[in-house]
Amino acid sequence: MKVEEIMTKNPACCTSDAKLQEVAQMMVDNNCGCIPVVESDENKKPIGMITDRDITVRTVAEGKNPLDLTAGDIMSDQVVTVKSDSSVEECCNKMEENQVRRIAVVDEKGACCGIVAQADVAINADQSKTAEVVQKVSSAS
Amino acid sequence: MLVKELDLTEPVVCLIDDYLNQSARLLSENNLKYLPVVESHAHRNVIGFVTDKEICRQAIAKGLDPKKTTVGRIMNHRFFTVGPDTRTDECWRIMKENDVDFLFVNKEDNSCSGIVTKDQLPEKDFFFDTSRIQIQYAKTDRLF
Repeated sequence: MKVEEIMTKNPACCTSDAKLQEVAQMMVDNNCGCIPVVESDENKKPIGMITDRDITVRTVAEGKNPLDLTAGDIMSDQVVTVKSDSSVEECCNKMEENQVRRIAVVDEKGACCGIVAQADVAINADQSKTAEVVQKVSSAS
Repeated sequence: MLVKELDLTEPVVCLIDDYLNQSARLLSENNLKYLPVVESHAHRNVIGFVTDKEICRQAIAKGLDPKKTTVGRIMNHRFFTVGPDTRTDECWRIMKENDVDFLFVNKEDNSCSGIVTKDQLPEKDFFFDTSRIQIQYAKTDRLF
């Protein structure tokens, strides 16, 4: 199974100069807790990730006003990516090695084209294992 | 298994009049995902809860200043409670039916004594064991 089969396609992205209020609104509009930060709207090359946790602990908890800050001020800039034609297993390995719960998926041009979360892997890994075994049993009989 | 047999601790809580920066600090310093909102520290009955999601989506997205916005304005009122003698499989059922990841545990006086999450339930292993059982049956041709 390929990553592109389980990922959330074309996620909402922002640039580093996006205001945190705008980023939070994107989370509301897209019902998600994570927004990839890209180099530009044109090339969509991932340069960071920002989550609702980042906004809460890196601004609000520290007494800063998030309304005065941008995505670039608080994003996690250690971006882990995986290619869209990679296997789900390779994706899992990368998530484990880097201890991340979400990973950005890039296309052949390096542009962000999806996101895979741990829940996506868990749901689809069980189904694929079951389907594979049933298929093997069916073909044997 | 019963809830009281799980390793639960009395949770950190906040009050309805606390400001969001205070509740965010509690979430951060205690590495919490869920922060119960209680009526008072004396009587810890839960009236709501806050998470990073409520802070971001109900306050920041709406342009509210977290130093001037109280917990009561944005807290989530949709929560479920169980008692210490509730079975863990019942907890799992409640979570699945209501699509929630946690439950508050109340003592007889309705004060909150803990939070039980899906990860803490032995049923989470059973859920995955079910798929393994299907695979085992398939291998031994019991389905055919």
